[in-house]
Amino acid sequence: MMSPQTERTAETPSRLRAFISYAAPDRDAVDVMRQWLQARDVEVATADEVVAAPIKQELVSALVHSDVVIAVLGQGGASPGVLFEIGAAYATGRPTLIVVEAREDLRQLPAALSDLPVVVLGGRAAPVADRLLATVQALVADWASPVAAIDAPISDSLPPLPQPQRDWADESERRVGEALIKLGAKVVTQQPGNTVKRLDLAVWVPGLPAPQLNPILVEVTGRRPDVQRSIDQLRAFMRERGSLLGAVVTADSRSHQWVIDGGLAILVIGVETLESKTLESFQRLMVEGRNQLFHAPR
Amino acid sequence: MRYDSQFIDACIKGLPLPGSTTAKGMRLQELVDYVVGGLEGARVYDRNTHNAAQSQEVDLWLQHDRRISGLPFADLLVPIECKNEKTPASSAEVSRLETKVRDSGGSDGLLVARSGLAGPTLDKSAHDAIHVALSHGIRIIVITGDDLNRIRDSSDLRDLLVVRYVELRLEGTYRTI
Repeated sequence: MMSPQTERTAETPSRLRAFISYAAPDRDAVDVMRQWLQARDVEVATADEVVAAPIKQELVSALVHSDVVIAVLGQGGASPGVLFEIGAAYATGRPTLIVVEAREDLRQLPAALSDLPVVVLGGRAAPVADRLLATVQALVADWASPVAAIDAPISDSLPPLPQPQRDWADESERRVGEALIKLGAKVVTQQPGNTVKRLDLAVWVPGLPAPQLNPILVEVTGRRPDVQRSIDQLRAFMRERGSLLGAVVTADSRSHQWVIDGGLAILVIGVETLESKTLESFQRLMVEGRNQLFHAPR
Repeated sequence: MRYDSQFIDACIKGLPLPGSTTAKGMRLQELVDYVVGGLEGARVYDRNTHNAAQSQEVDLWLQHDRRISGLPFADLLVPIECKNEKTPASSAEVSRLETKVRDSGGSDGLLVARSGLAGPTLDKSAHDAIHVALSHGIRIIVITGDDLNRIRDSSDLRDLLVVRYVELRLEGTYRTI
């Protein structure tokens, strides 16, 4: 174990040290990354070097003495050990980066990891190695200049900007779209509207705690909604578009309900309830959906 | 950050002036460097980088702190390609940027195309290539010379990038370009 004097701080002016977390099937990829990083003057540690019991103490020590944690989710997927080490990295305040071996692996990432930056190994060796190092350096530099916690409630400090005239498909869509614009969201309509098998709206909600939660895809129902059908249709769109959060907005006053299934979170909400929201309360609602999604069984 | 409108106007007026492809590209690159560099929580961290074989060049690399920037990019490092041509960017040019993003292990790219995108009605149009890239998990956000003419401060640029990103995710390409 290293001495406490070597604990990493924002001021430590020494070589970068990366802790690579991985499952056994990804050892080859880790060996390649180790070579890349060491060739660029980055020290590398892995859980293999944590030999003494109790592992909890040794692992935390290894993480604390690292500047960044690189979690490899390749052939081994999100193994319990890797997830445990990512959690420990969060707890010890270490910036964390996900590395996947192939682009297809991105779709298998647990929703709870969706806010972490990702590097895909499947490109050309030198540019990927350069990106890996530059991303590590950027993460460490950002960590050294902390801002408010990203999960802090966001205030309505940014006034909504004037938005261009839109071609709403119908009155229901106009009402939903204007309610969202009033919150300060950026709303894009699908054209032509009211087309079967096409989605109605996509919305960027400012201040969500992770950029990957945006955009929220929105399906607007008519007066006599078949909510389940709308949910199924929206779910198919979300899978195709790689979105995590969606909303079915009905033309009534129903309260809100989250439907969590298949790694996706869909909010069902009446337009009158939506109109009563402030930006802050809507952000809280989205975070509630995210939290339910993150803790849902896979 | 409020941009220097005289500088932007002068740059935009200079874009169509004759010159070699490289010289014209550099003129647009200078403008993009300026506006991107003004984004809060973002900076241009590298320019005109080549791969080892010298076969691929990236005009600019944007680096941003996602906690601050409000930009829609998931990647912390985003290659920017600048196309200062009087003809719209072609599908081949979009595909080249897609390849650069993929080869470097990223998912996001920014294409600044002075004259927009070729298509959308043409077969194998640039819009098509944007859609194909998205189906491969590569998000190419596009802004045009007209867009650069309209932005007056960095929040305009950030909002434009956000709206284009949302449009891309909804439509699979850009209806507004």
